[in-house]
Amino acid sequence: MMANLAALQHQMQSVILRRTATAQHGGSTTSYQVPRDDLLSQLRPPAHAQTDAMLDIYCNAYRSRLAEVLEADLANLSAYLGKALFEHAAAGYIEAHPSDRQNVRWFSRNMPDFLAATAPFSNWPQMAEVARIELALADAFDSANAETFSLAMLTSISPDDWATLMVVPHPSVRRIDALTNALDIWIAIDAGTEPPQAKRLNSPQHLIVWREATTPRIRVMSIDEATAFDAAQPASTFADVVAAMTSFEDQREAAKAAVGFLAGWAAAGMLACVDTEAANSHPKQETPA
Amino acid sequence: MESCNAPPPSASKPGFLGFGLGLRSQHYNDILTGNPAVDWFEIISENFMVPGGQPLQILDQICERYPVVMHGVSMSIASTAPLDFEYLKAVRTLAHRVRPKWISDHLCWTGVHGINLHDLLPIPYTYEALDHIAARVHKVQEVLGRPLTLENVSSYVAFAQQDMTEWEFLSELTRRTGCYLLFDVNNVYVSARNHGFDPIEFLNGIPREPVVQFHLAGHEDHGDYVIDTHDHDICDDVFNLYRAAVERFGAVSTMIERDDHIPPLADVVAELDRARDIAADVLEHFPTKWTPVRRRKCDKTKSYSADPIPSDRNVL
Repeated sequence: MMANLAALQHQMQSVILRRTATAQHGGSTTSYQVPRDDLLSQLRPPAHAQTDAMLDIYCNAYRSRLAEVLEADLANLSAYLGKALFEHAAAGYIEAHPSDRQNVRWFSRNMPDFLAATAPFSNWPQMAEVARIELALADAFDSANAETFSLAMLTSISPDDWATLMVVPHPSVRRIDALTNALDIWIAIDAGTEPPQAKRLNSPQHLIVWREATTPRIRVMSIDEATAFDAAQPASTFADVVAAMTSFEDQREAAKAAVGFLAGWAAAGMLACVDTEAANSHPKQETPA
Repeated sequence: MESCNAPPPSASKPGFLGFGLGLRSQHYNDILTGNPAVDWFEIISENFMVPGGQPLQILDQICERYPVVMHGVSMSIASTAPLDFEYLKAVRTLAHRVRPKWISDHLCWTGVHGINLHDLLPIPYTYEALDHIAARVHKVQEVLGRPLTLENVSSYVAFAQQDMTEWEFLSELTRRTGCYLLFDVNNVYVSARNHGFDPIEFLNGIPREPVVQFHLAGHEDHGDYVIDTHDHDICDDVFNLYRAAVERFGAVSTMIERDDHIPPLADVVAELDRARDIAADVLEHFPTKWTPVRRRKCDKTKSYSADPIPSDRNVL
């Protein structure tokens, strides 16, 4: 007797995922493989090949397709880890994080956290950070559009309006605080050169990723600049940014530094335009499907 | 068996577009700086269902110059999981931008229980499945405001209990819902080899009216079975089946899908010319007003800066 459509799809997906099911027996729980034979018994023999082998086409394609996505999204991480170790990481990730989005574009997004939390990769924290950098650049590439707040716009602001000036990061901006020299490793790999020895840093390296025109960029920020920028996320006034810069004893010195930072951000295209009368109208990212 | 036979949202059947290609990132530069002899492009919808940036900029430039159709891989029309209306809205949003001649996806399911296997999984050709899918096609057509176009997929397994053949299922689905068909010639060939049916019987079992597009592609031949990989040139057998399809369906918009081991644009265009020649040869013997299009003139020659472009992710 053929199972109904829902049961059949559940069964076939379980076989492809090689999922185990759990059953309760009194007080104990038993795990067992979803019976592949049950599905096979509902399949018609193919023209020439074995039914089992034909079912395996789906099982193997599932893994190889997602592995290809990871390889494409994390090409520099793959080059850094080498073929065998990357395949090991990819296989573990695919089992741990089945895709839950309609668009495979976002399948790789949990890889940095997976590497940071899963042995043996967690023993080398630079791996997760290299992945984080690579995915941040990919995110910046196709993140939401917004009109950039240019340096010319900044210089046209009246001194009286500076305190209430809204500072809004462009939707493409991503901030990373790296605890290792992952950026140097990533740059070396990207250039096709030998990466430096991995090392933990004495203090975090503050990185900012954004999209300038159509090209993703990354650079290092000082602790003061990073503090100021973080105060601006998701949107704050210039006065709020200055107030967050507590390492400056003199607020005038903080304001002076903040003006410099702001000019640099505006020149690089890290800021988005916003209506100063609508404090909460900072640009929103579209929700990916 | 469901008797519902509601008409789709009003729309006239899309006309013949000529001979097109799947838009692939490796070819962006050549397309935008050159004048390839391609009449139209098919995009993988999901590759452009992103918030912004260069992919959408390039898409806009392509749409200025060529007719474009949208081809999705994630609608999962046959899934027993609830329809994903957020996904459908995203498709509709992209359609507002692209103004596609039609929107297609596959007659398959891609996952249940909140998981997407990113594959085109087969269905049993039963009345239960037909009722279920027909109801979902109606809902999708309501959201999109136009008839959906569905493609027959390649399959490697078939189910023991079936109430009808694949071609009978497709025919009945179009009759009930008014959806169009994307007749994938290579997929018919692949499934025929794997399951041992006659591809001509499949072809003759499909009504002419709903067919709006042909797909051509290459595959991997393992002797006892065939895998639909889209990474090879189109083989002679598939071109021969294409000839038979043109003989049956007449002038139908035709395109080549190439998803891996992607050759230079000129090579794919040359392969497309072979399809043009076959269609021209066949249609000389059939009453039609269509004249083969050899080259589409492009008036706009915008410059294009070749920034790094990530590979197309959504290909099946």
